[in-house]
Amino acid sequence: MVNESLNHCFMYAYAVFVLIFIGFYCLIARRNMVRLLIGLEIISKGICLLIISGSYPSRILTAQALVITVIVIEVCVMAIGLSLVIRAYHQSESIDIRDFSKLKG
Amino acid sequence: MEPLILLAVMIFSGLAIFLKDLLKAVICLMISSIFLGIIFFKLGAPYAGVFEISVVAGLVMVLFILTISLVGGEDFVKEPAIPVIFFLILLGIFSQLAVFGFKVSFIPSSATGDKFLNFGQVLWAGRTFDMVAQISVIFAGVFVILAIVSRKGKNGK
Repeated sequence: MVNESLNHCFMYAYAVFVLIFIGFYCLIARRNMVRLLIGLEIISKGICLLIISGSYPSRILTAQALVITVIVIEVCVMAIGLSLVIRAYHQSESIDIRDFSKLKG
Repeated sequence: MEPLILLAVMIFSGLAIFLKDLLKAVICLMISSIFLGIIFFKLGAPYAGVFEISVVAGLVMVLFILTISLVGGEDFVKEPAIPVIFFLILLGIFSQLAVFGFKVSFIPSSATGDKFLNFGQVLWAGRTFDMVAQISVIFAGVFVILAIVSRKGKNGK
Protein backbone atom coordinates (compact mmCIF):
# COMPACT_ATOMS: atom_id res chain seq x y z
CA MET A 1 0.00 0.00 0.00
CA VAL A 2 2.79 2.37 1.00
CA ASN A 3 4.89 1.34 -2.00
CA GLU A 4 1.92 1.93 -4.30
CA SER A 5 1.44 5.41 -2.84
CA LEU A 6 5.14 6.21 -3.24
CA ASN A 7 5.11 4.98 -6.83
CA HIS A 8 2.07 7.18 -7.45
CA CYS A 9 3.87 10.24 -6.03
CA PHE A 10 7.07 9.44 -7.93
CA MET A 11 5.22 9.02 -11.22
CA TYR A 12 3.63 12.46 -10.97
CA ALA A 13 6.77 14.12 -9.65
CA TYR A 14 8.71 12.67 -12.60
CA ALA A 15 6.13 14.01 -15.06
CA VAL A 16 6.24 17.44 -13.38
CA PHE A 17 10.02 17.66 -13.63
CA VAL A 18 9.99 16.51 -17.25
CA LEU A 19 7.34 19.08 -18.21
CA ILE A 20 9.18 21.91 -16.45
CA PHE A 21 12.45 20.83 -18.11
CA ILE A 22 10.84 20.77 -21.57
CA GLY A 23 9.50 24.29 -20.97
CA PHE A 24 12.85 25.65 -19.79
CA TYR A 25 14.66 23.97 -22.68
CA CYS A 26 12.27 25.65 -25.07
CA LEU A 27 12.88 29.03 -23.42
CA ILE A 28 16.65 28.59 -23.65
CA ALA A 29 17.07 26.91 -27.03
CA ARG A 30 14.38 28.52 -29.19
CA ARG A 31 14.32 32.01 -30.69
CA ASN A 32 10.84 32.15 -32.18
CA MET A 33 8.67 34.29 -29.89
CA VAL A 34 5.62 32.06 -30.37
CA ARG A 35 7.69 29.04 -29.34
CA LEU A 36 8.87 30.90 -26.22
CA LEU A 37 5.24 31.34 -25.23
CA ILE A 38 4.64 27.64 -25.91
CA GLY A 39 7.50 26.94 -23.49
CA LEU A 40 5.88 29.14 -20.84
CA GLU A 41 2.62 27.25 -21.39
CA ILE A 42 4.35 23.90 -20.84
CA ILE A 43 5.97 25.15 -17.60
CA SER A 44 2.54 26.27 -16.45
CA LYS A 45 1.16 22.80 -17.18
CA GLY A 46 3.88 21.30 -15.01
CA ILE A 47 3.08 23.68 -12.16
CA CYS A 48 -0.65 22.86 -12.35
CA LEU A 49 0.13 19.13 -12.28
CA LEU A 50 2.45 19.72 -9.31
CA ILE A 51 -0.29 21.49 -7.34
CA ILE A 52 -2.97 18.90 -8.07
CA SER A 53 -0.85 15.77 -7.63
CA GLY A 54 0.90 17.13 -4.54
CA SER A 55 -2.36 17.80 -2.75
CA TYR A 56 -4.10 14.55 -3.74
CA PRO A 57 -6.33 13.43 -2.04
CA SER A 58 -6.64 15.37 1.21
CA ARG A 59 -6.40 18.98 -0.04
CA ILE A 60 -7.78 18.58 -3.51
CA LEU A 61 -10.45 21.29 -3.09
CA THR A 62 -7.89 23.94 -2.18
CA ALA A 63 -5.64 22.74 -4.98
CA GLN A 64 -8.43 23.14 -7.52
CA ALA A 65 -9.00 26.73 -6.44
CA LEU A 66 -5.26 27.43 -6.76
CA VAL A 67 -5.09 25.77 -10.19
CA ILE A 68 -7.99 27.87 -11.43
CA THR A 69 -6.13 30.98 -10.27
CA VAL A 70 -3.00 29.78 -12.07
CA ILE A 71 -4.98 29.15 -15.27
CA VAL A 72 -6.57 32.61 -15.21
CA ILE A 73 -3.17 34.27 -14.76
CA GLU A 74 -1.71 32.05 -17.49
CA VAL A 75 -4.43 33.06 -19.94
CA CYS A 76 -3.77 36.75 -19.27
CA VAL A 77 -0.02 36.28 -19.70
CA MET A 78 -0.55 34.40 -22.97
CA ALA A 79 -2.96 37.02 -24.31
CA ILE A 80 -0.55 39.85 -23.50
CA GLY A 81 2.41 37.92 -24.88
CA LEU A 82 0.68 37.06 -28.13
CA SER A 83 -0.49 40.64 -28.61
CA LEU A 84 3.14 41.73 -28.10
CA VAL A 85 4.20 39.19 -30.75
CA ILE A 86 1.67 40.62 -33.23
CA ARG A 87 2.79 44.16 -32.44
CA ALA A 88 6.45 43.23 -32.84
CA TYR A 89 5.71 41.54 -36.16
CA HIS A 90 3.95 44.65 -37.43
CA GLN A 91 6.89 46.81 -36.33
CA SER A 92 9.78 44.75 -37.69
CA GLU A 93 8.34 41.94 -39.85
CA SER A 94 10.07 39.41 -37.62
CA ILE A 95 9.33 37.28 -34.59
CA ASP A 96 12.95 36.35 -33.96
CA ILE A 97 13.81 37.33 -30.41
CA ARG A 98 17.38 38.27 -31.49
CA ASP A 99 16.03 41.06 -33.65
CA PHE A 100 14.87 42.83 -30.50
CA SER A 101 18.22 42.76 -28.73
CA LYS A 102 18.60 46.47 -29.43
CA LEU A 103 15.87 47.03 -26.86
CA LYS A 104 18.33 46.00 -24.16
CA GLY A 105 19.33 48.90 -21.93
CA MET B 1 -3.96 3.91 -17.39
CA GLU B 2 -2.63 7.02 -15.64
CA PRO B 3 1.05 6.37 -16.56
CA LEU B 4 0.06 6.15 -20.21
CA ILE B 5 -1.82 9.44 -20.05
CA LEU B 6 1.12 11.10 -18.29
CA LEU B 7 3.42 9.71 -20.98
CA ALA B 8 1.13 11.16 -23.64
CA VAL B 9 1.27 14.57 -21.91
CA MET B 10 5.06 14.49 -21.93
CA ILE B 11 5.35 13.25 -25.52
CA PHE B 12 2.96 15.81 -26.96
CA SER B 13 4.61 18.59 -24.95
CA GLY B 14 7.95 17.51 -26.37
CA LEU B 15 6.53 17.44 -29.89
CA ALA B 16 5.22 20.97 -29.37
CA ILE B 17 8.76 22.31 -29.13
CA PHE B 18 10.39 20.07 -31.76
CA LEU B 19 7.91 20.23 -34.66
CA LYS B 20 8.90 22.72 -37.35
CA ASP B 21 5.38 23.77 -38.29
CA LEU B 22 4.00 26.14 -35.65
CA LEU B 23 0.40 25.11 -36.30
CA LYS B 24 1.19 21.43 -35.72
CA ALA B 25 3.13 22.41 -32.59
CA VAL B 26 0.13 24.26 -31.20
CA ILE B 27 -2.17 21.33 -32.00
CA CYS B 28 0.22 19.03 -30.09
CA LEU B 29 0.09 21.46 -27.17
CA MET B 30 -3.72 21.35 -27.29
CA ILE B 31 -3.73 17.54 -27.21
CA SER B 32 -1.32 17.67 -24.28
CA SER B 33 -3.73 20.01 -22.43
CA ILE B 34 -6.63 17.64 -23.07
CA PHE B 35 -4.68 14.71 -21.61
CA LEU B 36 -3.70 16.86 -18.62
CA GLY B 37 -7.37 17.68 -18.06
CA ILE B 38 -8.18 13.95 -18.10
CA ILE B 39 -5.51 13.42 -15.42
CA PHE B 40 -7.12 16.15 -13.31
CA PHE B 41 -10.44 14.33 -13.64
CA LYS B 42 -8.81 11.07 -12.57
CA LEU B 43 -7.23 12.75 -9.54
CA GLY B 44 -10.63 13.96 -8.36
CA ALA B 45 -10.27 17.57 -9.53
CA PRO B 46 -13.10 17.96 -12.06
CA TYR B 47 -13.27 21.76 -11.90
CA ALA B 48 -9.58 22.10 -12.63
CA GLY B 49 -9.98 19.57 -15.45
CA VAL B 50 -12.85 21.52 -16.99
CA PHE B 51 -10.83 24.74 -16.80
CA GLU B 52 -7.78 23.05 -18.30
CA ILE B 53 -9.72 21.63 -21.22
CA SER B 54 -12.05 24.55 -21.94
CA VAL B 55 -9.78 27.51 -21.22
CA VAL B 56 -6.25 26.26 -21.94
CA ALA B 57 -7.02 23.73 -24.68
CA GLY B 58 -9.75 25.97 -26.09
CA LEU B 59 -9.29 29.68 -25.56
CA VAL B 60 -5.49 29.87 -25.40
CA MET B 61 -5.10 27.66 -28.46
CA VAL B 62 -7.51 29.88 -30.39
CA LEU B 63 -5.29 32.83 -29.45
CA PHE B 64 -2.21 30.93 -30.61
CA ILE B 65 -3.81 29.94 -33.92
CA LEU B 66 -4.99 33.52 -34.47
CA THR B 67 -1.47 34.81 -33.87
CA ILE B 68 0.08 32.19 -36.16
CA SER B 69 -2.37 33.05 -38.92
CA LEU B 70 -1.31 36.71 -38.60
CA VAL B 71 2.45 36.21 -38.44
CA GLY B 72 2.77 33.16 -40.71
CA GLY B 73 2.58 29.48 -39.88
CA GLU B 74 5.97 28.38 -41.12
CA ASP B 75 8.81 28.59 -38.69
CA PHE B 76 11.04 30.97 -40.65
CA VAL B 77 13.13 31.86 -37.61
CA LYS B 78 16.51 30.17 -37.81
CA GLU B 79 16.88 28.15 -34.63
CA PRO B 80 20.28 27.22 -33.19
CA ALA B 81 21.34 23.73 -34.20
CA ILE B 82 21.38 21.91 -30.87
CA PRO B 83 21.46 18.12 -31.27
CA VAL B 84 18.52 16.22 -29.82
CA ILE B 85 20.94 14.02 -27.92
CA PHE B 86 21.85 17.00 -25.70
CA PHE B 87 18.16 17.45 -24.94
CA LEU B 88 17.83 13.78 -23.97
CA ILE B 89 20.96 13.84 -21.79
CA LEU B 90 19.86 17.01 -19.98
CA LEU B 91 16.38 15.55 -19.59
CA GLY B 92 17.82 12.41 -18.03
CA ILE B 93 19.86 14.45 -15.56
CA PHE B 94 17.13 16.92 -14.71
CA SER B 95 14.41 14.29 -14.26
CA GLN B 96 16.50 12.62 -11.55
CA LEU B 97 15.64 15.63 -9.40
CA ALA B 98 12.22 14.05 -9.11
CA VAL B 99 13.78 11.37 -6.90
CA PHE B 100 14.55 14.05 -4.31
CA GLY B 101 11.36 16.02 -4.77
CA PHE B 102 8.62 13.43 -4.62
CA LYS B 103 8.27 13.33 -0.83
CA VAL B 104 7.71 17.08 -0.51
CA SER B 105 4.37 18.23 0.79
CA PHE B 106 3.53 20.71 -1.92
CA ILE B 107 0.67 22.76 -0.50
CA PRO B 108 1.84 24.79 2.50
CA SER B 109 -0.18 24.51 5.66
CA SER B 110 -0.96 28.21 5.54
CA ALA B 111 -3.21 27.67 2.51
CA THR B 112 -6.75 27.99 3.76
CA GLY B 113 -9.82 26.19 2.52
CA ASP B 114 -9.42 22.74 4.04
CA LYS B 115 -12.18 23.29 6.57
CA PHE B 116 -14.88 23.60 3.90
CA LEU B 117 -16.86 20.70 2.53
CA ASN B 118 -17.36 21.50 -1.13
CA PHE B 119 -15.56 23.35 -3.88
CA GLY B 120 -17.96 26.31 -3.98
CA GLN B 121 -17.33 27.10 -0.34
CA VAL B 122 -13.58 26.77 -0.82
CA LEU B 123 -13.54 29.07 -3.84
CA TRP B 124 -15.95 31.76 -2.67
CA ALA B 125 -15.44 31.69 1.11
CA GLY B 126 -11.96 30.24 1.64
CA ARG B 127 -10.14 31.78 -1.32
CA THR B 128 -11.95 35.10 -1.65
CA PHE B 129 -8.76 37.07 -2.01
CA ASP B 130 -7.75 34.85 -4.95
CA MET B 131 -10.95 35.83 -6.72
CA VAL B 132 -10.19 39.53 -6.18
CA ALA B 133 -6.69 38.95 -7.55
CA GLN B 134 -8.07 37.09 -10.57
CA ILE B 135 -10.46 39.93 -11.40
CA SER B 136 -7.59 42.42 -11.06
CA VAL B 137 -5.37 40.34 -13.35
CA ILE B 138 -8.13 40.06 -15.96
CA PHE B 139 -8.70 43.83 -15.95
CA ALA B 140 -4.95 44.47 -16.12
CA GLY B 141 -4.67 42.09 -19.06
CA VAL B 142 -7.51 43.76 -20.93
CA PHE B 143 -6.07 47.24 -20.43
CA VAL B 144 -2.56 46.14 -21.45
CA ILE B 145 -3.86 44.49 -24.64
CA LEU B 146 -5.88 47.59 -25.48
CA ALA B 147 -2.79 49.74 -24.93
CA ILE B 148 -0.62 47.50 -27.11
CA VAL B 149 -3.07 46.95 -29.96
CA SER B 150 -4.41 50.49 -30.20
CA ARG B 151 -1.03 52.17 -29.87
CA LYS B 152 -0.72 54.91 -32.45
CA GLY B 153 2.34 55.73 -34.48
CA LYS B 154 4.43 58.87 -34.25
CA ASN B 155 2.27 60.71 -36.74
CA GLY B 156 -0.94 59.81 -34.89
CA LYS B 157 -2.05 57.03 -37.30
